[in-house]
Parts: sequence; structure tokens; C-alpha cells
Amino acid sequence: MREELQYHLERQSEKYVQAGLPPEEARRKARIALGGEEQIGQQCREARGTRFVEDLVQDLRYSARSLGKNFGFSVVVVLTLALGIGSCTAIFSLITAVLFPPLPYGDPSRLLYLTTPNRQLTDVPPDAVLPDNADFVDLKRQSHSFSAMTQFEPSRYKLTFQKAQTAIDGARVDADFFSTLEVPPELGRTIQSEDTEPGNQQAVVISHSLWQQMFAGNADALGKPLELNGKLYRVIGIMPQSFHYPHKTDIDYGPTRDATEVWIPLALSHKEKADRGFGSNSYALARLRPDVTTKQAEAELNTIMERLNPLHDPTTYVAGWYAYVKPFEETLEGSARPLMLLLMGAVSFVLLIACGNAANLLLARSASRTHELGVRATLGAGRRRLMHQMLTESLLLGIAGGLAGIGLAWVLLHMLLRLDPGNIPRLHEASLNLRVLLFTVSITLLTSIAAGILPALSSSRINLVEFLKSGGQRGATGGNGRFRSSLIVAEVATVVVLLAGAGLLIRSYINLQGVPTGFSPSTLSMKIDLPDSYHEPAQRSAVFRALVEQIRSAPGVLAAGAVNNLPFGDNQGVGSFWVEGYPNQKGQMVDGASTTSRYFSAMGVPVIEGRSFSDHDTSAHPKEAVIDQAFAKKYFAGRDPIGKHVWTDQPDNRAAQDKNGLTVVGVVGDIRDFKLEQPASPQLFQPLSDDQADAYIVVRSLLPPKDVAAADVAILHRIDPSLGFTEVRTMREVVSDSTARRRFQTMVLTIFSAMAFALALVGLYGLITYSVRERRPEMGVRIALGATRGHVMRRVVRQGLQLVSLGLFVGLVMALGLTRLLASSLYGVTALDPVTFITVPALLLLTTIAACLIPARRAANVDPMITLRYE
Amino acid sequence: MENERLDLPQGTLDLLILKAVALEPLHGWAISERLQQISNDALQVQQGSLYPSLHRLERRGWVKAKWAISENNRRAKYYELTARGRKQLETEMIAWRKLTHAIDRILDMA
Repeated sequence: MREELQYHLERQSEKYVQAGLPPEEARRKARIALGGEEQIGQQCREARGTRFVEDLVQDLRYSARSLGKNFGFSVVVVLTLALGIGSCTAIFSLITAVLFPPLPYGDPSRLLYLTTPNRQLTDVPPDAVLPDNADFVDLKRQSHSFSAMTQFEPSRYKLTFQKAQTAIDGARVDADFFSTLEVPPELGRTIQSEDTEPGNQQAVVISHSLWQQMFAGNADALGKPLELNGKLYRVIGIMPQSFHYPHKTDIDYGPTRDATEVWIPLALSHKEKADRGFGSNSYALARLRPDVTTKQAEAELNTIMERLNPLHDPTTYVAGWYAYVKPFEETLEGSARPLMLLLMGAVSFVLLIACGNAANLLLARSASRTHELGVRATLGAGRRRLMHQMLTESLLLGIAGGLAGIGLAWVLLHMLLRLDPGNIPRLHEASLNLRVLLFTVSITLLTSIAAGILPALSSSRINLVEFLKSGGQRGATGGNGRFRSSLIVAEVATVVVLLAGAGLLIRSYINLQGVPTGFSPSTLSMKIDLPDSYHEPAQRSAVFRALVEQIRSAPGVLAAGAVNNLPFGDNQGVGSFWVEGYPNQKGQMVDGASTTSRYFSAMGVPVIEGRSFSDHDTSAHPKEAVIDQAFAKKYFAGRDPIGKHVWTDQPDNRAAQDKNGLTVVGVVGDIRDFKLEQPASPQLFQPLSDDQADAYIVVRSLLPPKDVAAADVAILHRIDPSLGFTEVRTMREVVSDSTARRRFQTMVLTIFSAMAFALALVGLYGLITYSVRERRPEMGVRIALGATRGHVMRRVVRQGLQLVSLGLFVGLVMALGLTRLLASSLYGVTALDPVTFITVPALLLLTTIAACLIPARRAANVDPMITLRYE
Repeated sequence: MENERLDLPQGTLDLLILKAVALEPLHGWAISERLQQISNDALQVQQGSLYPSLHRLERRGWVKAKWAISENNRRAKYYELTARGRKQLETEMIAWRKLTHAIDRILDMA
């Protein structure tokens, strides 16, 4: 461009020089003849259409300057947007990790867990009955719906490494395990069929993190030895990073505590493979063929199971075995999907409110820029130009809000992860990765445009004539009042819905806290696992008895006992039984546990009738049983249970009648076992034999739990220094762990409701303040005409209350309809709980009055002399 | 002579430029000179308004621009009429003739 004009100037100058002018003169004349270079340049560029980029740059600079001058305003808008964008980002990262994880297992929607439950076992969840080995072999051989099928058995192992022992999660897997999951090893190879041959089972595959820990990531780890549970294995392969299947959250009812680190061959003997008893400890996982649906596969499996049913031992259990499949991606607590959707819904509301506030702030500000915009319009800025500039401003604010939001999201995410209840799958993998950041960018753009479009449209509508006539006072923006008010009403309605939901959840949680568990929360529990070195029952008895005796006699201890399964634990002791004098049904099952005599005392469970177990050597004397009140009520209704007989076997198994006969010696209070929300189920307690390999010790003491734990560890070390306790918790902590997910849900919803509430209040405050400022002249007139201060204040507060009441009304109607979505999470309150639905409006109205007081006082203090003169 | 230069009616500059480059490609200054020459110096063409028009014509695709070495051995931007431009020139010439004839007839009345 410049070169072209330069050339022109040169030629023109030459012409003048040839005509006789001196060079200086010639050049000057040429320049005059051409005209302003800058102007020409601009006109050319406009003609070419490169104006856009230049305008953009100019807009950005102008916006930055203008926002910088109104720093307070800019900060408030940025913070508001940051709050909305940050919360959404944090929740989105949780949701992508939980609901849409980048699972490395091929297409995870084609994977299914297989179980073989029995229709008669009504108390046992269908997904808890793992297939018998023989059933698995037959199902695998006879079905055509699957491209791969595998068996694996999770377990805990003691890893000996550099003279130290650590407990790790591991699994015995068959040769199809890794191919079913479609995960190739990072180094080496995986378990193959030759590794399951007898006498050749020393192969082990290790995880990436274990490889880093033990071998510092050296490739020469292959072939190195590894000691598990005292046996030597050889490393044959290393899995890629973050492969730890099965995680605790991947499988139900299993022993996995955390993430699996080692995989060894699952080698079943011929006898084991033919076992068709009451299930195995091995999970079955299968991958559907591409053209087969889940329903079809399930139907085929059931057909096969019908053929296999007669092969089961009819004397022990009845027929009724069937096949059950469960998608890979669901877990114990059911899908986490409803919870995630609830969170996403709540946080979208927060974003909408933040957006509304930002829009309101921008609208308010544009109204006060009458003068500036009028001048620009007078100087030739077209409507589009002004709109572009306003949009650029809101975009700048939005981007700043987005950046701040990312920072806030990081903080929020860490806070939320600390609340991790531990049973939401893959929650701990949430991070601010690329997918999440892309999401942030898109909502930032959407929010900026949404917040800025209306101010841009309305403020660019300038009536020049009015503007010039009134000397720069009128002709520009105004009349947004109604829109801004309706935004506030919408915000209040949204807040009402959120607060109602949070209120219901809070009340449910509090109700749940008051539920009597049936045992003492301060009782300390700890787990003891005796290693394989104690392979003689006599050895185990000795240790066990010594341990319990010494703990019992420790200072401050009121009672000590042991049990095989703690209440609220991961394991349930369910078994078949029948009761003397009761119309027993085939296959009836009951919950229960095996305990020592002083277990009930240690747990603070009262003995209602009779007594607890005697201290005799349990293997010699007639077996005793203790039942709880629920059991007594159900199976001994109207009779005295003491002295009656109970058998822990099937009614028609005559041979077992004497062997498994138990005499009821006592009735104890009810203990909740599974969930706080569920009332106590009937339980049958048997004596715990003291040659257990593992058990939970429970201690009730006058001393604080920490001291008791320390003392007991010392006792254990005196008996055998290589042993240690795990899972040392008070019963209160045990129960608390079981309500972790509910706590998570309640806390997060409460946090977001509070955010939304604060934002809405700030928005309301801003609106009222602005309205007061606008109506100063009117206030001045009123006061001059004799209105009292109180009167003026009441008017202002009434304006706020009117808005909020309208919002309340709309919100309550919405809440009444929406809270039923929470119905499954509520406890002790209905979806239309009156307490909540009265508290929320009361709270809102009170805070509204408080928020309006400051602007109200300002309005009342208006000096009519000043305002009237100003007008 | 300079005082008697006529002001160019709006919009006709485009037509003149298209005509000027119809015979051969010219650079900006040459176009300006030619217009002055041919009109016997009667037209007041603001030299500055030449270039925006040229750029507009280029954006519309009626002329094509190319850098080349000029007659005084320096680089200059040459403008050449395109096929579309030729068609546009014809259209505009016809329109111009019609307009001036109509105006002539009105002025000749009375």
C-alpha cells in the first residue's frame, strides 16, 4: 500500500520538477495533490475489508482501558463469572472421570460380569453369587455370544521386598484375562495358558507403579524374582500406566482395598474345575460379540444354566440356578449417574445465576455510559461498530473470568476430592485435563456472549438528536429496568429450588445421624490377619486366645471380643438355616456372624433375654446360638426362644440335623448391619472358633481410642512382632464410612446452593442500589413533599421484597415438582417436607430485607435540595 | 484551466477507471494522468480518491493487480481489466448513456 502511494508521489514530484519547480517545492505540491496518505490508506483498507482485524485490535485496546478505569466493576464481573465457570469446570471434570472415563478396556460397554444366582436365595443379591468353576467352564464352552471370557480371583497378598512386608492387592487370573480386557502389556508378556500348567506357575505380571517402585522402571525387571505370601514368582510382564484392574470400585463384595498391582496365574486342579457347589471366589467377565446384544447373551446363558441345573448337588441346595449379567461399568452402590447428573444440574444453575448477574452488571454500566457512547456515535461510529465494541468488552471480561475460573476450579476440585467417599468409581482420576479445559473455553465463550449481547444491543441504540439536544444527558440507553428485574426474579426462583433440595438432603442426613445402630459408637475395632506361617489350627488358637485374653485384661478395658464380620463392613455373613417349630421354607437365608462370648458386651449390645455364649471350648460342647430381637420376633413370634433349636442348614438334610443343631441361649438387641437406612434384619450369631485366620477384635474401654489401639498393638507385638493390625477404626468411623457417599452428595449440593444464594443476593443488592440511584430525583421530590424517612425506606425494601416474593412463588412451584427427583436419597423426610419449604422462604425474605436496608437508608438520606438542583 | 475543472459526479470514477485500463494494464499514477489527458484537463479527479476506488474494484474482481517494473525502472502496481470487469464496463456504459440521454431530453425541453 505504502509503496504504491510512494511511487505515485515520486512520479508526481518528477512531473513538477520537469515543469520547473525546485525538488522541495515539487515534493510538497505532489503531496498536496495526492491528499492525506493515512486517510487514503484507511479508505483503501476499508474498501478491501481488512478493517475487521484493525477494528478488533482497536476495540481490545479501548475495552482494556475502559475496564481498567472501572476497576471495581470489572473485578466484580470477573469474580462472578469465575464463580460460575469455575464450579462448572470442577464438576465437569468429576463427571468426565466418572461417567465418561477413558477406560483402556477396548469398548467397555461390551463387557459384562457373569454371576449364577439362585432364585431361592432371596436375601442374596444376584450379583453376589460368583459362578462355580464347573458352571463357568460349561458356560464358556457352550455359549456363542462372547468373543472372550475370563475368570479372576482378587485377593490380598503379602509382598516381601527388601526385607519389608507390605500388603498389596493382587488377582489370580486365567489365560484369557488380559485378552478379554484388550489391554496389551507395556513390556514383556501377559499370563498365557502355559503359565497355568501345574508345576509352572511362577509367572507374575506387575503394574506400572509397582515396577517404578521396585525396579525403578528398569527394563531388566523382566525375569527378576518377586516374593508373594512366601512363594517366589518371576516377573514376565509389566502393564501400562494406570492399569490396575480390578480397582476397589470395579468389583463388589471383594477383598480389594485399592488397586491391583500383581497378577498371577489362576491354576485350578481338575477337582476344583469340577466343583459345582455354592459358588467360587472367582469373578467371571466376558466380552460380547459385536453382533450380540446383552439381552440375547443373557437369554443364551440362561438356556445353558437350565441344562446345568440338574448337575448341581440337590441335597444341599435347591434347583433354581440361573444366569445374571451386569454391565462392567456399574458397581455396588448402583450407577453413580444420578448423583453426577444432580451435581451437573445444580452447578448449571450456579452458572446461569452468575451469567444473569454479569448481564445485569453490564446493563447497569451501559446505562451510565450514555455520555461516552453518545460522543462516539456523534463522531461517526455506526451501530454495528458500537455493538462490536461492547461485545469485545464482555468477551474480555469473560476470558478473564474464565482464567480465574480455572484457578477456582483447581481449588474446588481438590476440595471435592478430599470429600471422596471412596465408592464412586474413578472419582479420584478427575483432573483438569484437555477435555475439561475445552469445556471451560466453550462455556466461557457462551457466557460472555450471553451476558454481553443484551447490553450491546440496547446500548448501541442511540438517538443522536436527543443526545445533542439534551447536552449529552439523554438519548441513550435506559428502559432495561424490567428486563433486569425479571433476571433477578429468575435467579431467586433458581435459588429456591437449589435451597429446597439442599435443605431436604441436610435434613435426611441429620435424621440418619440419629438412627440407632444398636451398638456403641466408641467401640474400637481392628482386624488381625494371621499369615500362612500359622498353618496349624492349634497355632492360630493359641495366638488368638492369648491376644483376646491380654487385651481384655489391659487397664481401662471394659470388654473385648471378636467377630468374623463387622457390621457395615464389606462382607455379609449370610447362610441358610431353619428354625424349630416354624414353617420353614426351602432355601431361606439369614444374616449373621460368628462371635466370641463377650463380643456383644464389647459392642455395647444389650442382652435382652438369656445370656451370651459361654466361654467353654466351643468345639467340644453343644453348640450355642444367640439371636437378635428381630429374629425372635419373626421366627419365634409369641414363643420363648431360649432353649429352642436352630439348624444352619437345609431343612431336609437329615444327616445334618444333629451336627448343625444349635440351642438358642440368648436374645440381644438389634444391630444394623448393612445400611443405616435399612432397619435391622434378623441375625443369627454363632460362636467364633478360635482357630480363625482372620477376625475383627472389638474393644470397649474407658481410655481414648488412640491409647487403646497403641496398647493393643504392643500386646500383639509381644506375642508376635511380625504381626500387625489393619483397619483400626472406632465403630463411629465404620458407620461414617458407610454414609460417605450421602455426605458427599449433601455437602456438594449445599456448597453450590450457598454459592447460588450468595450470587443472587449480590445481584439483588446491585439492582436495588442502582434503582435507588436512578430514582434519586424522585426520592428528592417525595421528601420535599413531606414523605418521612421511614416511608422512603419502606418503599425501597418493598421493591426488593416484591421481586423476591415473585421469585419465591415461581421457585416454590418448581421446587414442589422437582424435589421428587431426590426421593430415593431422602430419609425421614418427604419430598414436600413442610419444614424445608417454610425455612427456605423465611430465610430468603429475611436476607432480602437485610440486603435492601443499605440502599434504603441511602435513599432516605437523600437531600432534596441537591437532587432538585441537579435535575 | 485549473479553476474550470468539473467535479466528478459520484460513482462515475469507477466507470472511468475501468475504461482507462480497458486498453492496457496501467499503474495508479498512469491512470490519473491519462484521465486528466483525455478529458483535456477538464475533470477534477482527486488523486487520493483514485486508490480507494482501485482497491474496491479489485475486491469486486473487476480489475486484477500485479506488481511489475515500470517505465522508470521502479516497481509499480499495475491494474488490468478482467473478463468480469469488461462485462461490468459495458453494463455501466450503457447505463450511463441512457441516463445522460434522458437528462439531455429533459434539459432540451423548453
